[in-house]
Amino acid sequence: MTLSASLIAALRIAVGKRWVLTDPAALLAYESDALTLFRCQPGAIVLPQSQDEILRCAQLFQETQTPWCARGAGTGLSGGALVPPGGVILGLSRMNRILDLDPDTQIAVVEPGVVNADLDRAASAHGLRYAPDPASWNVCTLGGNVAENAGGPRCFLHGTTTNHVLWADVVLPDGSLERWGDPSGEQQDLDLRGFLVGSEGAIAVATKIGLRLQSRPATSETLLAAWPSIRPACETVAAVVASGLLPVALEVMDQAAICAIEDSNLRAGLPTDAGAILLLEMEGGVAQVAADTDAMESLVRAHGPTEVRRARTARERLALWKGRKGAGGALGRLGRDSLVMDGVVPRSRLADIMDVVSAIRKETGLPIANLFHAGDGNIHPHFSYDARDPEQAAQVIAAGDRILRACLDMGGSLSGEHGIGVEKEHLLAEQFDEASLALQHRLAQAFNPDDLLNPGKGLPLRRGCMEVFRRHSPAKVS
Amino acid sequence: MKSVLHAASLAEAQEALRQANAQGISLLPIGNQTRLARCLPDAQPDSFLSLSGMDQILGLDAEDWVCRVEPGLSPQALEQSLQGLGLELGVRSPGATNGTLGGLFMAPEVSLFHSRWGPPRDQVLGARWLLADGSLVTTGSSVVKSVAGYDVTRLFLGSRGRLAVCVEMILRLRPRARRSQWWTRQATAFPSSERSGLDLAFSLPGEDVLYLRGDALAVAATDTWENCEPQKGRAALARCLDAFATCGFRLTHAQSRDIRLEKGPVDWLSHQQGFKIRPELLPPSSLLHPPTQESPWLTRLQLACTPKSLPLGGLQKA
Repeated sequence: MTLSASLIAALRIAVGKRWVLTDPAALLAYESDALTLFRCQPGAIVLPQSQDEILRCAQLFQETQTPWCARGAGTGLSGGALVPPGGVILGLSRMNRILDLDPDTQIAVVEPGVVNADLDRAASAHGLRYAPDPASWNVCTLGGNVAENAGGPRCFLHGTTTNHVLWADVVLPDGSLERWGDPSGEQQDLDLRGFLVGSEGAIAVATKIGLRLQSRPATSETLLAAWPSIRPACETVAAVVASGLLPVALEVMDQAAICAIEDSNLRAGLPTDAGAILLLEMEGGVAQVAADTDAMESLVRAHGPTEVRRARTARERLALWKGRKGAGGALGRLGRDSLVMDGVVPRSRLADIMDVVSAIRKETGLPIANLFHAGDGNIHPHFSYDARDPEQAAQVIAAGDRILRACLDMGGSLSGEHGIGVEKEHLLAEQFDEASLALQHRLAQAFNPDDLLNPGKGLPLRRGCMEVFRRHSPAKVS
Repeated sequence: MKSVLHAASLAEAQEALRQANAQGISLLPIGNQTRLARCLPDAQPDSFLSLSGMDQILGLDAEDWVCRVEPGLSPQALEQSLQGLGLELGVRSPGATNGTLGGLFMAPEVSLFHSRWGPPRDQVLGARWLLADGSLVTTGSSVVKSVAGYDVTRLFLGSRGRLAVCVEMILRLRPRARRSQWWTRQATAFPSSERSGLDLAFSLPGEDVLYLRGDALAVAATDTWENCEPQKGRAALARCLDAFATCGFRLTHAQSRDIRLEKGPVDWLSHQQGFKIRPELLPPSSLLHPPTQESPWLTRLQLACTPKSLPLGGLQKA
């Protein structure tokens, strides 16, 4: 299905000729997000630079009944930023201005294409920061963070994106503009803002976002503890949480992840002979952090680690976190293709879910590395495989489904921060019953009645369009 | 005078909704009516459905900081169960004794813990609801982090019972502050540099004093702060939360993020008189929370929830 010449012409008038891309090379770059398992080539890419241009585009899509979706940096991991053939992707990377940053109210107003780390850097000039820190923070956009309710290591203490979005100006699929939420963060009316965050781009597109900033802590300390296996690391996490010491982040990595980091340019001096390590970050006032880190260290030592160390300098501390955040990339070198899973269990069940992952690794022989937000019970098994081998690819998908089903059996969730997208919609009916899914569908329809905005994602009931997002298309893989 | 149906269990609540739906009667869920002013301005229910009899703690997982409660439980009763576990609910709002958790989360409510743990709805991980036709649905999850499915929980919380009847909530619990200490200072300008490490900052009506509570090692106390006996601080907090628990209060959440109580006309709603509001005692509309005008989305979302039923709280006035 191709787009009509008249729609292309109208879009060119709306945003300027050079910002409507239709040549196959450009379209290829937009045929997937960071989950390359699913691909679908859009009919055109439109790169607006203002709210008015987005409004005009939405009106054109409504008039011509053209499916469309908004896309930030394409770092999403559930196939959320794909459109069916003949659809249009609205790339928001040109809308990258920080419109206001008020140190008094500690509120930033940004366009959706602003990169997460850029806001954090701008805030740091005022002694402030933006708390949510997804691993892709150097490239991912805040608009994408809002759509997926992005998380990150610091979310253990500071919450996910939804806890930091005060309001948003949104363009609805019918081409209207509304403001949801207000600067107080105390929603006095229906919390449409709350419904928007994490809606995977399927109810409205945020064109301006009011975000809560917070004071940068006076000081931070990072502790590293190592064990011969992953179970005691997980058990220590439960003990740390129970102590009420409140670290800002609690991250676990297994040996496969440690070795991948140490073999890459992110080398941070991690113990490659350890079965697992736990990274703990404390932050706050100087006296408080000193006292809490001491308490934390004795608590961790009581769990029999082979090694405990404190980052001695800021540089050493940053190297540890750079290693953790870049681990996904480092692991990418282990196989031709990667699949990063995302599931959640109650944190008291972390050791149990790791047993499941380990059993699957033994059974299938697939290389699986583990690195996860342990404080939140949010696991990320990382598969390295070769997508050209259909048998191996099918094995990876089946293994991923088994892990997610085990998460559900333990009272967990299918996704902690990546979203459902096209990746997991076939499992959603195992987390929610039919009536609950039907309700979600009807509520989304109230905002997106013609299903033009990001169709075929997030809910199994929208399956009509689902089949168009192919899993593996070897012909397309270079 | 409007009648009140009392449900003591999920099954009874479901049956009440089914029967009301079959007879074309609109219901509005209520708890102990301490926040009814905020629910009624634009609602026209034929009858009320009281859930204050559903007041059980259904599960408490201290290790994972999660508990499952029925909506009729009072915040105070929950706090009592959490004592000794080192945990507490991340909300401090008026009506702790007389109100219900259902009312607290379903009426748009402010929390004295806002700057520490966010607004009340940030404390709810998931819930079970009855729609106007009596069908049972689940939203959210029971783990601290989940993005599976749309965030319907947030959409329903604060909707004043107009979209769904909350019959069960999964609450996220928070660790009690360690090394907790109380201070007082003058209720004048309170710069952000003095606010770090505090979990409470409030004043009482008619007093020029700001009560502060925080981690003794984390706060940036200045010479203008005075140490305060914990007992005195706790008493002030109790007065703050309960003296105005029956609708006659207003909490203003200033941009500066400290919270001040202002006394409004008390006792405008007499429980003994059923649900007939004495108009001469109605607070001025500026005191009503939320504003009397409903969101234009309310009707659309009610229709989405139950396309074929009379909506909760009755049809919107034209």
